[in-house]
Amino acid sequence: MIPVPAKDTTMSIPDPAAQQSILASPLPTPSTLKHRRNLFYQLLRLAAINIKMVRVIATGRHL
Amino acid sequence: MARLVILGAGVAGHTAALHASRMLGSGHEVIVVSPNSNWNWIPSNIWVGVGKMPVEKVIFPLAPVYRKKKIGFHQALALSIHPEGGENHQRGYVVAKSTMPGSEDRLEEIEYDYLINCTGPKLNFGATEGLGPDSGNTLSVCTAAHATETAKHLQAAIARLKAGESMRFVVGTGHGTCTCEGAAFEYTFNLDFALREAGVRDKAEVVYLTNEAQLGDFGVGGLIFTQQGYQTTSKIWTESFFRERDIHAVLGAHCTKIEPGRVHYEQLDGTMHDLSFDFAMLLPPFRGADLKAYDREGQDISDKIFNPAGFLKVDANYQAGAYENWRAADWPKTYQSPLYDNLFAAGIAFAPPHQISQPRTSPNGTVITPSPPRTGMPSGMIAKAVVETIVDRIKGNGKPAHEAPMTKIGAACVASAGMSFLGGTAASMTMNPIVPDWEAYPATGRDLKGTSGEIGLAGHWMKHLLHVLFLYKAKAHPLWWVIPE
Ligand SMILES: Cc1cc2nc3c(=O)[nH]c(=O)nc-3n(C[C@H](O)[C@H](O)[C@H](O)COP(=O)(O)OP(=O)(O)OC[C@H]3O[C@@H](n4cnc5c(N)ncnc54)[C@H](O)[C@@H]3O)c2cc1C
Repeated sequence: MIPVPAKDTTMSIPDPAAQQSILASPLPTPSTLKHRRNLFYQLLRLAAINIKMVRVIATGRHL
Repeated sequence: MARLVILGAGVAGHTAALHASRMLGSGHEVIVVSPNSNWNWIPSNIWVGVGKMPVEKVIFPLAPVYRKKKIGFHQALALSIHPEGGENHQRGYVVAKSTMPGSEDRLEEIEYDYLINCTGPKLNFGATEGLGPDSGNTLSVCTAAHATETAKHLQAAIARLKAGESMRFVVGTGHGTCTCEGAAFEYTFNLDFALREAGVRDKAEVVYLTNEAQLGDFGVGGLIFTQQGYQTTSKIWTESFFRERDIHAVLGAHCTKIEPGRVHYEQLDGTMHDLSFDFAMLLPPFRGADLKAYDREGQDISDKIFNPAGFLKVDANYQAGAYENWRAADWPKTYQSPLYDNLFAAGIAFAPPHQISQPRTSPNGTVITPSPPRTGMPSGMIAKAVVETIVDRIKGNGKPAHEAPMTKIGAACVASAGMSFLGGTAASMTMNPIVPDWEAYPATGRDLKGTSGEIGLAGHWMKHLLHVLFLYKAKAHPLWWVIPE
């Protein structure tokens, strides 16, 4: 499923300061969003995530 | 012949039992005492809770696995520990109440040479009036049964949205001292994903209500990691994800009371608020299991062995005091009780020295700070280290105790944000170490090479892979022990 862009359904903003901070954060570019779903690119990322995890397991291995 | 007794058969207890039986072989006894007949892979309860996975896929019966591995299994709830033995016991022993159908409430006394407390958390819904699915007004995904119930409520809510109603969904933490913000985050994004799939997201407002002072804190004080040549923070990264999915947040919140359809909360600035909801899934704070401890004369020594929240005190520095004085060295290494050298705790059951996130209190004196998470990976690693120590001692190897300090071990956290083979997403994070060590890494608290975050479909595949691998491992299928904790 391709997530549809959200429509603003705001009933009221419960924490305006938090919302302001959220709205000040960067949105991913269309290219980033595409990469996050591209099967070939994500297969490479799966390998990369695995390597990162193995490294964390290996370096943090208990004594 | 030595006997190792393990209390609890969750992530830590079950890992400890399987490794102990493998490492000790025949000639020694491993006994597990736990009240549930089933094992539950709790991380996948999130998917059960949005109706994406049947409950049977996250649980399996423990008894056949323990039979296969020659591990004794007492389906019972431990009530008290007697580390010095007693009138009829030369060794330490545990009193447990059977939960086996047909022999409920029968008391057993089980002697041990070594004891590991892996009783995890008690889900303390009672800490906030009206919290929880049993006698309160909110839902939960902490147990497989809770998640199943939550999925039914979600289906009903989606039907109402499809009929044209607008609704507010509140997901998060039900108390100022909750932990497991990662689980609340996952449920928020899986809910958002399910609403989009059902084509009703435009009718729903999704609010993440949390005790974190900032998004991306996750109870570990947030992360700093490198992304495309820049150092970024988990705050910016998480806020961006909230913005992308149009999820609102309430930060630094302590729920004071939950009425049907309305949550009352205090925020860090001391202001009081309330928010109406049509659907709320709020996690409870955790306590230790309600275990008591007695000395040889029958005197209650619970307050010496456990901290006030009921977690077992181990080799940590509990006198660190103010935040400015906290050091990585405060965290335990061997998880051995300072009072009894054959008593250990692993997983959530050990008493942490203090929080990881900066502690915060509202002007009214309310503590609103995440408690330190002890997630699946450290729970398993600690359990294995404790077992290795015990095995060495049983075999008389004379080696020093094995160590697994959370200031040295890292963790991988894959937070699901939608379950679908081709359209799913997850936020994959690694942190090394789990507890920042500002002396070793003065700039960011952690090793930048081992600390990362990324969002994408690959994370979802990883999360699914972990589901498959950990269930395989927990069922003790061939070569299960090759799979890391
Ligand atoms: C919804 C949710 C999602 C999560 N997702 C993730 C995730 O994605 N990744 C991750 O790493 N972690 C996740 N966690 C955290 C993870 O589940 C815990 O870190 C882990 O279960 C802790 O292991 P444990 O053995 O200490 O406790 P548990 O796994 O809870 O096990 C405790 C055991 O003790 C038993 N017990 C309780 N009282 C007694 C008693 N008196 N006597 C005997 N036995 C007793 C219980 O029945 C249970 O078998 C999640 C948690 C939740 C709630």
